[in-house]
Amino acid sequence: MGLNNFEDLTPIHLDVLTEVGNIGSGNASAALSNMINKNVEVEMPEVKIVSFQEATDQSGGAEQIVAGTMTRMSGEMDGMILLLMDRDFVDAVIDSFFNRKVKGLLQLDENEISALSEVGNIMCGAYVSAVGQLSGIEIKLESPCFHVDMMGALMSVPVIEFGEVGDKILYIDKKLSINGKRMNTKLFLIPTIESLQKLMGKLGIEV
Amino acid sequence: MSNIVVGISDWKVCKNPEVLVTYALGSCVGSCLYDKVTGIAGLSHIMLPDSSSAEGRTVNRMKFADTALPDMLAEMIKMGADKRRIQAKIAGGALMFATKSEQFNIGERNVAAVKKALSTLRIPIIATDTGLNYGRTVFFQSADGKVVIKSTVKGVNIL
Repeated sequence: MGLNNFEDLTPIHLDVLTEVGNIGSGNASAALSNMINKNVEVEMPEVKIVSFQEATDQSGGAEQIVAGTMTRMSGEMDGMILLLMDRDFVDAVIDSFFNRKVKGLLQLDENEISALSEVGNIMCGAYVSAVGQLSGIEIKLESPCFHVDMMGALMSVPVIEFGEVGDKILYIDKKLSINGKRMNTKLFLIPTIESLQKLMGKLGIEV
Repeated sequence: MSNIVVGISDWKVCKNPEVLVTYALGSCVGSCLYDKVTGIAGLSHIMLPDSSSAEGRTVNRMKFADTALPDMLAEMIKMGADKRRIQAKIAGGALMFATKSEQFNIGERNVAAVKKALSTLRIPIIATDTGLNYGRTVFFQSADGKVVIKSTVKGVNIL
């Protein structure tokens, strides 16, 4: 099998993953739009294979404070989904749930955390259910964990997880806008290489 | 003078008065080795405990505690540091997302592996800021050996 490393992915594989990401993120943003009753638009997702340095943005963005939910996938697909929410996104969600502004990402109260975790849960659920339907792969999700910290520290979690097999990581990145305002929020689907092989196989793509 | 940035799976050495920095350590561990007489300093940012987990694949030696620390120490000695004077301060090794299924805490394992590697090299650890659940940025000043740790939770902590 040729696909043993993320670097081995061909342009066809990347196109397929972009489409998978597109369908998944379309579904996730529809779910978000329903939940917060605002207009949500997504850009075409990008499939990226990047070094650990780039993934954790060692150039400086690493220290930016973001809120994140991490959800583990199991079943026929192993890996994780990381949703990183910037301040604007958190404001939009909290505004719609509680009709107020947050003091800051580091001063979220229990209700706000629980609302944001639920948003993470619903968006990730919608994302993988679309991927699952498309490919016929059964994907189970654990309940999400929520944490606010430096972006680099949160991104180090998937990076370490995949660090034993290589020096690169694959993720499907999408950007979204809420009521026309572009968010710096990212949703990463991070499958293991074995799961990626399985996904390609199910979609009838040679690996 | 700009700081020397140490990436993830990386180590760098410098000489007084330069400053080494590594950003946003999560479960990774930063090890600061210092010889105060020569002002030679080394900062390593490891991701994983043990290179044997790579099962024979070619590895980036800077990624693992057991290979990165001996290599960095050797480079410091080559620059003129005296091993008998070198002391270590370590930071990082957090558990960023505490899920129920996180049976093996990689941050904790990284800290244990760094301690083991330093003990094998007979380098004493004189200060630590490890564990818990938050990210840390580490500045290591070769002028005085001070390690300045910034986090969202504790603000600034100086070792």
